[in-house]
Amino acid sequence: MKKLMLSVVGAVALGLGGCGGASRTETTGPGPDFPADAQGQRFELRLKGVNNPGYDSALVQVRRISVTTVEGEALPVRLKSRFPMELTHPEQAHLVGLFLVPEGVERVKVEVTFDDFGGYEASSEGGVIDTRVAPLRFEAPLAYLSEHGRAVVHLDLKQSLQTQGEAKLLLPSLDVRY
Amino acid sequence: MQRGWKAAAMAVVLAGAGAASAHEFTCDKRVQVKGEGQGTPGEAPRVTKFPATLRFHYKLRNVHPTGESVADLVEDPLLARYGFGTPFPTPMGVGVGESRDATFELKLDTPEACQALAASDGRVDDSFDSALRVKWALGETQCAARVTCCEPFVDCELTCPPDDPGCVETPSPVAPGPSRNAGFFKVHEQALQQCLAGGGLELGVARVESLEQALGLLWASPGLDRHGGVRTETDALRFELAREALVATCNERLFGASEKRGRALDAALRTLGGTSGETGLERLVRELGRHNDAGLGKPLPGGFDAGRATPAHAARIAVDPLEPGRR
Repeated sequence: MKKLMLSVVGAVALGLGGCGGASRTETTGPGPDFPADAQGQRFELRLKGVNNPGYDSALVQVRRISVTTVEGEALPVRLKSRFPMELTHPEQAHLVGLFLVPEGVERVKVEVTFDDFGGYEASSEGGVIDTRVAPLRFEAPLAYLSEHGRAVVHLDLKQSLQTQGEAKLLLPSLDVRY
Repeated sequence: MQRGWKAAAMAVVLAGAGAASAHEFTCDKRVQVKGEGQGTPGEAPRVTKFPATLRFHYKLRNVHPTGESVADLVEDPLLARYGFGTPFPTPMGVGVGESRDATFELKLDTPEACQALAASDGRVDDSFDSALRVKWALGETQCAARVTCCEPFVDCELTCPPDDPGCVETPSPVAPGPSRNAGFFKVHEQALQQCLAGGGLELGVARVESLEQALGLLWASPGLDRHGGVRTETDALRFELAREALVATCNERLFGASEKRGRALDAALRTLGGTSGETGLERLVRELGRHNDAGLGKPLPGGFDAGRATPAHAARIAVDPLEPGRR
C-alpha cells in the first residue's frame, strides 16, 4: 500500500521552473482531476513558507479549498495536498489544489481552509500549530493568474505563527504572488 | 506516508517569488480591547466585559528598497459591515522607508454582539479573525488579527443586561478535568503510544491498532483518501469524527473519565458504527472537539510524561488507516 501511495504521490508531484517559467499542469492521480464536462482554464494554487525565523519544521494541512466568481458562483476545484506541507523548505511551493475558470470571468475569489492543527519544531522546543482560524481568502485577477498559470501564497512564518501558550496560533500574514 | 510526502517535497520546487516588483508592502494589524488590560502576553485579546470597545490598529509599510509603492486597494472586508471597509484612501503612494497608520474602533454592547462578530468570519468558534488586505500591482499582502469573545454564562463578567432586573446570573459550570485536543496527540507520540497501550480502537470507519495508524488518523487529510481521491463531505466528516473519537478515548484512558465527554463519545461511536444514522455528523464533531478542548488549561496528572513534541517524525510515520468505502 505504501508503494502505491508513493507512486501516486510521485506521479502527482511535478517540478516547476523558476519564476517566470511556464507552469506545468498535473494530470496524474487516482483519476481525472475534473469531470469530463468541466470546462475552463486550469490554474494551480500553491502555498509556500517564507521569512522563517528559525523553525526546523512547520507543518500544516489544508482541509478544503473553494474558488468562486465575484458573484459567488462556485467553480470546479480539486484539492491535491494529501500530506502535511513542510513550510520551512525555502524553495518549495506546495501544490494545494487546482481550479478551472471559464471564459469571460475576470476575477475569482479563493478560499483556503486549514485542517485543525499542524506542528512545529525549533531548536529547543516543539508543539502544536493551531490552525483553527478563519479561512484564508484573496481575490485573483485572471490577468495575473494567466501570467504563470498559478497563484502562490507566501506565508510569512515569522509574523504568522503567534505564541499561544505552548502552541503557535496561525494568523496568516501573507503575500499572494503570481 | 513518510516517503510519499518527502518525494513530493523534493519534486515540487518553485524558485523565488517572481520578478522584483516596483511595489512591495508589509502590513501589521493589531487589536486591543479597551479597558481589559494587556491580557496574557502573546495571546489574542479576550473580551469579557460589556459594553466593550475594540480598537483595531493598522500599519502599512513600503519595503521596496528604492522606489515608492502604490497600494491600489486597501480593505478589511469583514469590518465593512461595521462601517470600516477601507482604512486608507486609495490609490495610495508610500515613499521609500515610509509607513501609514490607521485605527478603527468598534463598540460591542453585549456578549451576543461579540459572538455575532465571531461568527461572521466563516468559522464557528468564539474568535473573530480578520485580515487587512493590501492590493498592489501583481500582488496582494495580508495581515490578520484575532480577538476572542467570552462565552456567555461561562466567563463573561456581565451576562445580564443592565436594564433587565429579571435576569438571573447563572453560576459557572463545574470546571472539567484535564484533557488535550487532537493537536496535542498529533505531536506527542509518546502520549499517543501510552493511550494505545490500553488496546486497539474500533472506530467504525477504521480499526486503529498501531501508533502509525493513530497518527495517520490525526495527520492525514480529511479531504483526500489514502489513494488521493476526494472524500465526499460526509466521508470527510466521518473521518473527522473518528479523529475526535480517538482523542476523546485517549483523554478518558490517560486523564480520567468525564460524564459529558463520555456521552458524546458514545454517540460518536454509535454513529461511526452505523447504528444511529449519519445525521448531525458536523454537530457531533464539534461537540466532541469541544469536550476534548475543555480541559486544555488544566495540568496533566502528576507523573504523566507526554514526551517531546516531534511533529515531523510523527507525520513521517503516519499511515492513514481508513480504507476508502469502509462503513
